[in-house]
Amino acid sequence: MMTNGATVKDARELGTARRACDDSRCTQVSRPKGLTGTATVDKNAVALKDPSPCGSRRRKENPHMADPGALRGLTLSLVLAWPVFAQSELDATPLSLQLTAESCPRVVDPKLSGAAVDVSYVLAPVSAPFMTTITLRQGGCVVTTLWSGCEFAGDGPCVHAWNGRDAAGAYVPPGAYTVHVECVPHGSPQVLTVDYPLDVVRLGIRAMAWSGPKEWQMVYFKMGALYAFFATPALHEYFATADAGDLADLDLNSGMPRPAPAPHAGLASPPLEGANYEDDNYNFPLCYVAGSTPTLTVTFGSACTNGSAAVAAGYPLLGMPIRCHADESNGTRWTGIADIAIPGGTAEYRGPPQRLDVGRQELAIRWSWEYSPDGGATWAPIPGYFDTQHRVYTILGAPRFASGASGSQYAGPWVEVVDDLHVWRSALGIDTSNAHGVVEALIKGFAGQIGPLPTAIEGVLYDTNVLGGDGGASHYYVGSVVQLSRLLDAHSNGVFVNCSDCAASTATMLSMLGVANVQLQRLGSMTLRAIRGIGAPSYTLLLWGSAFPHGFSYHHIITRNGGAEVSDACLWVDEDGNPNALPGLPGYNVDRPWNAPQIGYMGLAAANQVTFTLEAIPGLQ
Amino acid sequence: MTTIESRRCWIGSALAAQDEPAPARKVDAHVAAALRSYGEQTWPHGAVRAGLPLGRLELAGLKAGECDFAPPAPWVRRYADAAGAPIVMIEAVVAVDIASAHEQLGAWLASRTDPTPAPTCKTQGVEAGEIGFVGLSRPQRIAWIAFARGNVAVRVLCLDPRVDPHPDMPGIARTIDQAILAVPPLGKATAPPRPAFERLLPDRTSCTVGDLVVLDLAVRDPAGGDPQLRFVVAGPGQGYVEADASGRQVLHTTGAGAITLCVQACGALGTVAEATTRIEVAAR
Repeated sequence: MMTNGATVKDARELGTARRACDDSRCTQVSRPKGLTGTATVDKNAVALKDPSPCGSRRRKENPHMADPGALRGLTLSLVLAWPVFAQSELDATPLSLQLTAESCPRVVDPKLSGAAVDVSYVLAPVSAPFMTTITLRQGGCVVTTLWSGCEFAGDGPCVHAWNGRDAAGAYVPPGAYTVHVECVPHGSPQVLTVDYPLDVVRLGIRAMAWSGPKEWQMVYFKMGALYAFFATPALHEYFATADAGDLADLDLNSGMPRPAPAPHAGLASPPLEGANYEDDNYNFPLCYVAGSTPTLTVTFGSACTNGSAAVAAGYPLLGMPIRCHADESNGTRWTGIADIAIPGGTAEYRGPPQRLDVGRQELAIRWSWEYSPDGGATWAPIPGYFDTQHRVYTILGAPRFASGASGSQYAGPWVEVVDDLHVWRSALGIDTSNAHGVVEALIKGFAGQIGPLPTAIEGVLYDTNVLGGDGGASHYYVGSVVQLSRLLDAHSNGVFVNCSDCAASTATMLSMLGVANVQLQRLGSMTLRAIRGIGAPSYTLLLWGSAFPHGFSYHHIITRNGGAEVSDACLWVDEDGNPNALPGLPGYNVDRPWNAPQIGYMGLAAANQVTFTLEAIPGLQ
Repeated sequence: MTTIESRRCWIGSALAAQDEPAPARKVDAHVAAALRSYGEQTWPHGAVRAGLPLGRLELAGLKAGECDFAPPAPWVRRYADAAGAPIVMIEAVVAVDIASAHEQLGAWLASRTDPTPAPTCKTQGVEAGEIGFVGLSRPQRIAWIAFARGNVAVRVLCLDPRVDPHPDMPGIARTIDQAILAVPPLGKATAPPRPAFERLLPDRTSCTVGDLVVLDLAVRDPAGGDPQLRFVVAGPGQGYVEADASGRQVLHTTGAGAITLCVQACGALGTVAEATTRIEVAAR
């Protein structure tokens, strides 16, 4: 129920002035700027003088009130223009004492954010005191009192905000109501009244399915402590509905609105519900090819609660369609392809093109609703809104995987991989709007030890006994597959990696980001020059220690143009002009020419002629 | 178990196909080269056994984790120290024959980029397998031990050899080897028995996305245990499988399109079998 305190607050918000009268409950409210309306007195409507909750006295009803449905059907234009089925006892009321309807929302959902119901009316003459009672009625019965007290007529309307709750603090359930304003001039037996029809509905969204030809599901690789692949559901990436034991999809059993799930921030595992996947309340990240246009299909909720039982959402309203808008926080409105809201129905929107580079962005969408009093000719806002947050990743092109590979791990890019790339390119300030930029961000980020990235990915080290490892054995590349999930999971197959682990990992990571034509390039034996292995503190000319030759029996790197240019996250070459001596100057291997004077990979990395063969990217685990 | 799929864990395309003969063997050229350089032709051949009871293998002073079963990668189990930090990982492949186990050993050796050959277990005083090799870290530290005992290939890895206390790698390898030896040898030319799919029946073969499909699944483990299951959902349809409250395996369909559901089963001794079924998932 509205209190004097709340009224004060609302008056201040509206920029109104007020002063106390003899009665401490009295207020004078001035007309707020920009609040206008046209009121019409219906002489057929005679006031009720019945203060009881459910009037039993003989009265003359407004004929429209007898059938709210018919009323809505008959008075749509009147509704939009500040409807008045009100009355004043004109014959008995001095002309100087007047109550004139001003405004009241026609359709409301008090459970939306910012959805206060502002009831306004004009009292006259200025400075005249009135005892006012505003009640919410249904079928002639008083449901609750919205506000009561003494107030002075001002030079503008009196405005009282109602929060949609009854005297017990519970939201009133959806349905057709009347807001009844009753004003008694001070010292007068006369009663002036105004009635506003009010439809309380419950709006909201229970599911969102993102789509488009360039949208991809994303992949998680863990289920709690276990390794298991999970593709985000194409059916709907956002879902907020009733769990077992819940009464309704839009509200909690307490009657409070069901909160929008926050975007899932985990990178390895999807949200779980006990030992199983969460299946009724989630908000998964989304993935689009950079620059593509998303399509979003939303499913509206169909039921709410009154605190003890499920009740219908209270719409559609006869002759008054409701539509829903989606607006980004920057003001961009998504195009509504089919935006009419129906409980349990769907609407479809098309968003603006996504960012043009590979990365991550947080998207905030404000959902708002309008109703049309005239079957779609004109639209009026329904107070309030519903905010949802979404995490959107962009990749360069369609993800690519090993030929013939199958399983959920190939449904799309892995969340952790795209997120890592976003972190790396942000930290290093690399433009990832083209393949070269993506390769640069990934190779440098994977290797780390550059700029604000103090370590290699997951803190791995090159597998040489000088660093504490052994003879460069693979820990993650197991023939036909690379166990990227184990690498990303705090290097669970060991802290040491070799070239095959690095090449297979970076090749599959780049490919799932949409970089084309990535292959492994297997090099033959190499007599090394000064190199710096991944995770190593410095360059070395004794990779395996002083007693062993400084070379590789083989080496794995990657290429995306058949070996003409190569990339290598496993080692840096020495670009100080003397690659046979220490110290070394970091030479990152990002699309480096394979064989070119001064800058070629082969010449900088090896003292011998190096052969190579090309290999397809491996499968993924 | 795995490495050379055709011999270790042949993949059937349907339930009935699990008893068909395996395709011909093909060895990776780099693995073959490693086998030659390490003198594989002189390696002793032991007996074929039904496998290794990795799921029951305890290591003194270490806490065993869950078995990590993900064909075609080796069967894995990690062991943690008293503080819960994983420090040792065992990789095992129960091959169909001894040559395939040797190939797995060759694959591990072939992955080394150090041009100096890895020393044998024998030269390092490690008693494990008929043939084995050691990856040396700093002096007095063994980073890994890889060996073959008959048709079982094993690599035990220290996950970070820099960390003290260093695990007793020779002792761990010996424990694993003894666990293999405790499994009775099979007859010559007898392949280790694999889990057998008795039923893989979805309660329907077509549905609408969002539907749940209950799987009537029965797999018998010749080793007498409960096979570890892994579900591979191949698209274009999408979904995942998890057990419901009553223990039934249920496919949750989350994307429209045909789903080829592959169920892989790993027995208690590390042999693997798989079966597939197909479900058409219509859009809403």
